Amino acid sequence: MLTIAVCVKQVVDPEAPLSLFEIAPDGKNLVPPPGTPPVLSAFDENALEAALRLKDTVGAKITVLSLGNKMAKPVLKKTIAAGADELILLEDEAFEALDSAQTARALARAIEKLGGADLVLCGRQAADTDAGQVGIGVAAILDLPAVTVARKVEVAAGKVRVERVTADGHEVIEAGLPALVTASNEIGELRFPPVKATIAAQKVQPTVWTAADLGLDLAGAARTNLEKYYVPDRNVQCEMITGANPGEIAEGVAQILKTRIV
Amino acid sequence: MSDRSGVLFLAERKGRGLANITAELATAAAALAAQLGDEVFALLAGTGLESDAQELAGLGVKKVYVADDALYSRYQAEPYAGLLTQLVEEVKPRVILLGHTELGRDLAPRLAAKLDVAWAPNCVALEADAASGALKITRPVFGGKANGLFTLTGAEPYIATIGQKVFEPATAAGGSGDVVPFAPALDPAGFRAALVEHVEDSAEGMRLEDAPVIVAGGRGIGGADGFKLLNELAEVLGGAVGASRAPVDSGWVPSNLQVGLTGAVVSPNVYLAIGISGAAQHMAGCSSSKTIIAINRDPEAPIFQRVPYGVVGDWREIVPELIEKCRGLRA
Repeated sequence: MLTIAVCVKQVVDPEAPLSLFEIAPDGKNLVPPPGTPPVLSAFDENALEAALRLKDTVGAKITVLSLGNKMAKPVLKKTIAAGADELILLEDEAFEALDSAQTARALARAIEKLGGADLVLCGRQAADTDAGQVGIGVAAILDLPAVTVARKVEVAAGKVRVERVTADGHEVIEAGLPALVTASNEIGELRFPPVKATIAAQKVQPTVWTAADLGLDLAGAARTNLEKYYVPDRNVQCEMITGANPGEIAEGVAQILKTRIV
Repeated sequence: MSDRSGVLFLAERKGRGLANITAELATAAAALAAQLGDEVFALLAGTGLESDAQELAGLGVKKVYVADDALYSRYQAEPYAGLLTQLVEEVKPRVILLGHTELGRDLAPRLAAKLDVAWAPNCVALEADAASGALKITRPVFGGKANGLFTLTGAEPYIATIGQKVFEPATAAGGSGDVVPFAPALDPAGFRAALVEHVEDSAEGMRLEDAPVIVAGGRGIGGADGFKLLNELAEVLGGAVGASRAPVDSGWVPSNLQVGLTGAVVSPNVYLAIGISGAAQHMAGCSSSKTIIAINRDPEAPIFQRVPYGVVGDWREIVPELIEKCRGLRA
């Protein structure tokens, strides 16, 4: 059977109101917004949905991998509720502040420990770092062909066929398995799990692998070093265009358009 | 000190000519090279490159490497990664810059993995630390809500993709660099991903990047029907329709209309943001517009803190009036 590994990241909810967005005094962390639980990074949910569709159509065993420290397990169990077969947490204090290359190494090692996977699926980029580094990094370490920004993923005859989003349309790219694909939001949202499955999933105990379990030595290896986060001041004075009725307001807008459109 | 020197950037082309990002990369590369006391090099790949190469050579580039081969006429990851890797071996630059474009986003991490070096995406500022040789970069994080300042360390070359519309495009400086052919032997048998087909989804209408005016709609537009009215306004203004992510995710408009961190980065003369709340990830795609006018029912919408002109009101009432008043505007 087709084996699929899906890498997901738990992030601070990017939809939390801006007023709750706060950077810790050390400048190196986010203050988790009170009352807002972490979520799965949205593109990773798209990746899981792509995996589930393959399970629906050609059959597959889906293993979800997530790396972090002190992860919120109920959030990750959503993947099981939605239809993944297995959840493996790479959890270690040493995973608190890895750079992308280190994260890729840990995930790649975990996939090797699984015995490999025919298809590795990741989100195109994480909702917090917006980098898009880890997926390609995993592919490089495992020496897999990689296709990014997928809107459709199909598997047949030992090949993966990917529709890849481009500014002017899409490309169709084929690669032999095993391969890695990163998913974009055009794939569609992760299916909503039935209540029964959600309850059942909470009873599942995920496998936990530590840095030692993976034989990882992470000492001194970070090459992308965070100095600080800060919120740049981007506020500008907004001139309000007003009027007694929509016609007057439209006239005001039209005046600006007239002078600005050259 | 390493035996490396210089800043190498990858030129991008669009249609017949250089893409906008190319001259912006030339500016970023020149500034960084000046800090390092180094030269600027560029790689241009594709076919029919003579005039583009000459143009590049006038943008303060010391040496333009030209890879003239149909293999590079449309971007494909493996040929480009192979080409650039071989050029890096020859030039031995300290820093490699690419645009944070569709191409750069795909290629930079591959190159970094191949060379086993650090890279940073979507940089809005770069600074070389002369003493340590480290590269300090600033880039947006958390969907554009904040910036992060990072230091890249370890083996050179460092790789950075440069945000679109961040740097002023370089203009012909009078000087002229050398144009030299570069034709490495790549073995296509080693390529494992094959481009089977390229499909242009919608040829109709103006491309967002080229539009002098963009009429963009957000969640507040409420459905595909609402966008018809926006289309009409865009037509009257000689512009294009854009969207924030919500209408795309809801299927009201195709995804190539999306403006933002994961969509297009645009800088029209006027950006009309209608029913758009102003999420940071959307503003990241339109804040370099010459001016922005926001129309939103909610006076508390965050977008009113980010744009020079605002209208509090119902777009359903205002837009039809606006269409009438703007008819003949272009005549």
